[in-house]
Amino acid sequence: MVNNGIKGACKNTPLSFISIIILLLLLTSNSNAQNISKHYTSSLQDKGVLYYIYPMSGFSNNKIKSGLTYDITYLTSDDAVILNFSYFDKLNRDIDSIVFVGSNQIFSSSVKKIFIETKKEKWHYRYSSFFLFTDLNIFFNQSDKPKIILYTQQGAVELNIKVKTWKKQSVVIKKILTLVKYNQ
Amino acid sequence: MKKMKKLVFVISAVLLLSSCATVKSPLSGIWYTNVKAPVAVTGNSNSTKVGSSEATSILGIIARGDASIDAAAKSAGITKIHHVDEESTSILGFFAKYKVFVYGE
Repeated sequence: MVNNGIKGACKNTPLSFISIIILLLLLTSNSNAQNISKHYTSSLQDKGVLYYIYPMSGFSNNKIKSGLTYDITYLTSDDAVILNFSYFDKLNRDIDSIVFVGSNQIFSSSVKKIFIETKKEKWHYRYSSFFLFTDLNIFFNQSDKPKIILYTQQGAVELNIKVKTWKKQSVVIKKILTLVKYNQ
Repeated sequence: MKKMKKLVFVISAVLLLSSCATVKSPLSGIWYTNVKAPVAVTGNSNSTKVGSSEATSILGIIARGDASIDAAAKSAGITKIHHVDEESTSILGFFAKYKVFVYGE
């Protein structure tokens, strides 16, 4: 009887252990889009609070196998948001501007080069752009998936994002921007 | 069945022979770590820019990335550093991430 009990316990142990691990992974994973604390930092400055939203990825062009990641910096005393982005492409590019295309509105900015490096076989283009805080709010408040267009001297590059990725990403950024608004 | 046994053996061997994915942190948890901590402060004041860099480790077998202060500062075009913070994350020793945040102008 005792042995059976021990056997039963041993049989259940791996299953319960795996269940706990899965539960822990689910709790700590990024799947919980509402937990925004893992996605930004804030620092008190003389002129206001400096917010930094961690790099986000997902926009890509599957035809030319290029991708873009961006991060957002915002000082609450300013009207403009700094949007720094990294663009990875095999081709040589001279990027002139970045355009966020939403379902109803378009927001564009000229870009300022930070650096250009190589990463494996691709070029790593690092640029900085500026958007109005209000415009960025409108952009991340839309539910339809948007696209980003990079205008380069070699032609325009259209970057798309998966619906699922956009939903997760926009919910996080939307909530952080709401938090910023509350603290202004 | 034999194939399955072999597969289980190989996975077990890999897990047992490899060390856990550890990360530099002032405090660490066996199951889960997510700690932010200071790295350095300078005499410069007023930050307007933030840059980050990171390195990751999987199972303690593969570790890659550039989590240097230089890489973080460069990513935002920072030339005057105000302060530097770090963030350490690890999950069950399977996955670890180390991030560096540089504030400056």
